[in-house]
Amino acid sequence: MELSTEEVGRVIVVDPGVKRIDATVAVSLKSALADLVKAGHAHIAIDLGNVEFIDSSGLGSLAAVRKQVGKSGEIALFGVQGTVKNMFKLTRMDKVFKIFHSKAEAIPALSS
Amino acid sequence: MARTTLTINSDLENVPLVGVSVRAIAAMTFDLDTAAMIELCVVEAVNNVIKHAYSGEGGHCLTVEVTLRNDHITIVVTDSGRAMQDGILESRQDALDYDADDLDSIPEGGMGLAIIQSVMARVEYSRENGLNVLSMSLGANTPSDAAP
Repeated sequence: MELSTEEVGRVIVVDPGVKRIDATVAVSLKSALADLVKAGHAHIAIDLGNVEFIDSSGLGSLAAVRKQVGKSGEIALFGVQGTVKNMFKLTRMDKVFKIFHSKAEAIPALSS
Repeated sequence: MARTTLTINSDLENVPLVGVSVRAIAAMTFDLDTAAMIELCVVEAVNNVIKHAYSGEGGHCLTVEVTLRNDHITIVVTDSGRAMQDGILESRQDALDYDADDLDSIPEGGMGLAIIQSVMARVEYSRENGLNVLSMSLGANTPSDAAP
């Protein structure tokens, strides 16, 4: 899976480039994000603005990366749409990740 | 009463076809947010069949029967794979009751059945004549833990 990335200071902004984060892409997404962490990125902002659906496999891949960056790192999500937001609330993952409306809000929060 | 049956090969690539179809059917009775949650439940159930009952192997058949009756939807997922463990529905109910501040306790998997049980009003599993039968239903006026 090829992610679109943009580095802004110590933050790397990631666009997964898919509308559905489900079991068909979860493993490759987890691997691609893990590669970013291994490359030294511990503050990752993920753009979910184009994501219309996420299942537990997709959430699991994000959770794995959250664990990988550990307490010294942070994963932020932005652009989360209604259905996807409901999924985060249902699974309480809205307590695991910092969720912002926009990239403009997410980047400063991870930069400080 | 209206009923349709969707049949797919046990390939994860086919799961969105079932999910999106059931969402559209559900939207005939439910609001769009709830229809999306019903899609999620079907996706979780079918993913479980492919990953666990069929151990990730393609080439096996599974069916999703959808029934709309008055303001209720009933979805029955049937497969001929390995049986679910006894008591797994009950044991997974608290899979979402983790400590979000404790990184080690955050689940990376095993959430599917808990999600289904949070969204749907009734979830039942049975083994019938060598088939796994997972039945779930929700009414438009039935309280759901996942109500938006």
